[in-house]
Amino acid sequence: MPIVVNLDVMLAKRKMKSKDLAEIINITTANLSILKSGKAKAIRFSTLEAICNALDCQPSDILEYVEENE
Amino acid sequence: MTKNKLLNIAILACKGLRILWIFIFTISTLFFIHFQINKDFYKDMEIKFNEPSGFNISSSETLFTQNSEGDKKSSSIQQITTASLYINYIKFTAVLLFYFLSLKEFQKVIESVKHLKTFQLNNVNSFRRIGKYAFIIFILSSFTFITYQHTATSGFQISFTPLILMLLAFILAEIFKEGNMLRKENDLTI
Repeated sequence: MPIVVNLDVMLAKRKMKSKDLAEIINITTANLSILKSGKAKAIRFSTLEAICNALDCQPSDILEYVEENE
Repeated sequence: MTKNKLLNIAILACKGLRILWIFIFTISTLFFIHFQINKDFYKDMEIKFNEPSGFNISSSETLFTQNSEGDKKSSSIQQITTASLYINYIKFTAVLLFYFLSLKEFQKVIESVKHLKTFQLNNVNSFRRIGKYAFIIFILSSFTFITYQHTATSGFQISFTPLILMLLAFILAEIFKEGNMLRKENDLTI
């Protein structure tokens, strides 16, 4: 998928653990893992809002468009 | 009536029907065995070939190889040949078996709905299997061939009930496949 999730980078920058973020934004660690691994098909605005709020960042810091090489 | 009550009733109905099917199979097997041991017991019994009723198209023909006594539309069970008896018993048992398997698959689907696992791939496969079983039942119930010592009866009928059941099962399989895709997508939406 050309949309890359840079959640790991932001978590490292904020020195926050995945488990803590999952607790703050009220989703399961399994779902957060799906999001981090790029297996997710979609992300809700409410989840994105909660992540941005928790990590004090913009959606563009988490999501990035990378053109696919053929 | 709550959803679970309805599902429980449906599961119970499926179990009851399956027991009834086993009972019919046992009775027919006992009849099959008893007929071969004591044929004289059935000398007064006749098979009557009535015009078929219900949702089907049929045609039948009675062939007379020799002059036979009695009504042309009925023959004594006693006169049925062993080969014909075996063929019809196997056919009847196979139809019963496929109805039984269809009920089993349907029960599986209802149980998965009860456990909130409705749109699983297992249910898609179950409906496909029901469709296949209905087609086999349709094929098996299309032909009738009974040979007696002096006569033979053959018939062909298109029974629409298993055909409609097959069509419905395959449509439901496609619906559940679509549902399964939507469920997967929903599960991967965070």
